[in-house]
Amino acid sequence: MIELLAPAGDLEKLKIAIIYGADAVFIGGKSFSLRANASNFTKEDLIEGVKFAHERGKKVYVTTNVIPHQKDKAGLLDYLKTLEEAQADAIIAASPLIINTALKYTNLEVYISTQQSAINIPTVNYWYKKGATRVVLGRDINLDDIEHITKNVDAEIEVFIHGGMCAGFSGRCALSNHLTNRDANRGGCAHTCRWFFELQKEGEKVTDTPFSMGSKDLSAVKEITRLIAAGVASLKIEGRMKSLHYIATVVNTYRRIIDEYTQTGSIENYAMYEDMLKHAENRETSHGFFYGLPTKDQQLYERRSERVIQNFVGLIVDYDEKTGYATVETKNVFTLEELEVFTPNESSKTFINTSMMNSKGEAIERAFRASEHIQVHIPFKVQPFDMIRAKRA
Amino acid sequence: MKILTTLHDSQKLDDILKVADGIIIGDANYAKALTQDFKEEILDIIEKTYQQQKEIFILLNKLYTDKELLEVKAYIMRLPVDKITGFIGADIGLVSILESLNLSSKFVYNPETLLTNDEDFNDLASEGIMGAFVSKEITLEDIIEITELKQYQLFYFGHGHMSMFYSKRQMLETFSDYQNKPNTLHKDKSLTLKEFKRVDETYPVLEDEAGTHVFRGTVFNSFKAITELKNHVDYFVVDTLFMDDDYAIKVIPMYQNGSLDETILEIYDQEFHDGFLFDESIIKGDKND
Repeated sequence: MIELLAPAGDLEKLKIAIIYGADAVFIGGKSFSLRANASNFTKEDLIEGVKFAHERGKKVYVTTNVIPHQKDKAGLLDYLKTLEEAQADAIIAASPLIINTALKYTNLEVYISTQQSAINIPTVNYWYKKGATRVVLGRDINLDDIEHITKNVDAEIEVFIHGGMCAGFSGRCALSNHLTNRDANRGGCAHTCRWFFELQKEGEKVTDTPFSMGSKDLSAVKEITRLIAAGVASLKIEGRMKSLHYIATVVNTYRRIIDEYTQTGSIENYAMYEDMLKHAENRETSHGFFYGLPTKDQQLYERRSERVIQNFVGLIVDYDEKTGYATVETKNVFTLEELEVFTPNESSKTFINTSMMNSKGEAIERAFRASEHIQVHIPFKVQPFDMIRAKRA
Repeated sequence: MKILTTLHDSQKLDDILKVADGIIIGDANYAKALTQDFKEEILDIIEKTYQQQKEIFILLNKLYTDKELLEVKAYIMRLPVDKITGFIGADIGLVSILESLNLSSKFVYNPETLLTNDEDFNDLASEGIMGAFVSKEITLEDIIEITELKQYQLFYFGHGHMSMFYSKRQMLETFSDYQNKPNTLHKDKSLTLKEFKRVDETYPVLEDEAGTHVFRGTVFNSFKAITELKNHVDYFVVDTLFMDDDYAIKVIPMYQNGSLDETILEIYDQEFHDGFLFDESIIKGDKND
């Protein structure tokens, strides 16, 4: 059965990802993980997250995908033992030091990170022969190549389907190291490929148009069916730094696509799913390398392309069926206006917000304090972790 | 410690081999960011180098799909492998290709950024390969520590414009297309990128058949570390991409003598930097963008 794999930058995001339809999540611990600027998980969070996932039949993978320097080696085995004790289902690693240590001294399953840029069968087999059970392919090959690899290897294959893409081969890039002194392969990537540069020839400006190496984000709504048919084991959404709402929206969209395809054998209306994704704060998206070398339509030349729509205004914490009031944690400003409840297993429902009270029980017409627990009257039953959206341009 | 260098002009081969222990060359169908695309001439260069009892390495430094790996295999089979010292490759998939040709012992692994500790460096020891390049992004202290634990020959990028970025994307093609212009920039080695906040250095950018490559503008050098490196490194590479053969002919003896003649900086209008030899990169920092 195909796995939908989602990012989780912290415990709350882990819960949201699972509730909104992920079969597994990947998280970073406090050590040996890229995305040093994500919140990342303490040991206690990890244990709670694994428990939450396992109780629902879901899995937790821990990224240990740094490329360590000599002095970074200290503490590795202890850390891996901690992950083993917490019953993490696998680690995602790129460094043979980490891979070999995990395989030799722990019972952790080992998945090979995209940082190793596996784009051919011998490379996948190299890691499988070593003991890794899954390989995350590089994002630099087309659907034919993905299909060819998947059908001809024993290792499970994981493929990225949504989110940010490295403009160059992942793991082989040192732009951040050289331009900012931040080590991209140890969690410090400054996303230098998304910066703007002046292109010069023999020291003279070639054009007034700024040059960028940046790539549009990947979105594989229309490619999911082919990836499933090819036998890909896991479809991965990128973005441990992304918001709760982004994760819920993207995960739930792909959940519904996968479910429709596995239940009916086809997808009736792709446009509906593309519209669902528009609720998330995506940068511009494209199909990456799926149909061959990227063209200008897969590159980013605009200074900022993500849409900040801030339509996620509240997270349902609880609901009192007797009074019809929901306890809502505020996320963005909203008023007495038409709102929508986004829920993982049903279609979204709208209602007119006619009554709400702040945390002191005072009637209010405008909720503007962040993370305040307020009461909102909702004329139908809602569940914890449902999300309230407002209509925003 | 042997010194290898790249080659621009086959007419300069004899002069290069007077100072270098060997050369690194390639064919653009199978390699990226070459000083020169030696296609028909490659057999002649291999023969001449072999006759002079010098070493010759063939660059296979792209990352390959399965179809491309088959083409690489066919290419290797066309070469006089007995006269070739080694094949320098970035793709771990090459290990099985070379093994199938009984050439594992000639493989030199160079993933550029990935071999930053002794275990990662030595990971292919059981495959019986010739050696590997230690990462350019680590300190001299780490390099020395790795050399003391190495299980095969250690190659070291010692001098030249450091590669920072490798993408399969044809970025100058797409950028030209974005501006509705024909691409006149392909394979042009006079192009640079200037970042708006970092105006003191421009970064050479090159688009070739393999994709797009970006380099440091200032030149990495190892003069301050050469005494220690001589005792630890097996192969020291002087890469003259964006320069010429005369540059190698001037610089290699300086490393052999252990001292820099600074006139080279004036002649070639260059600035040197020490990379990360004495200054390790950090993990977290302020946002720079």
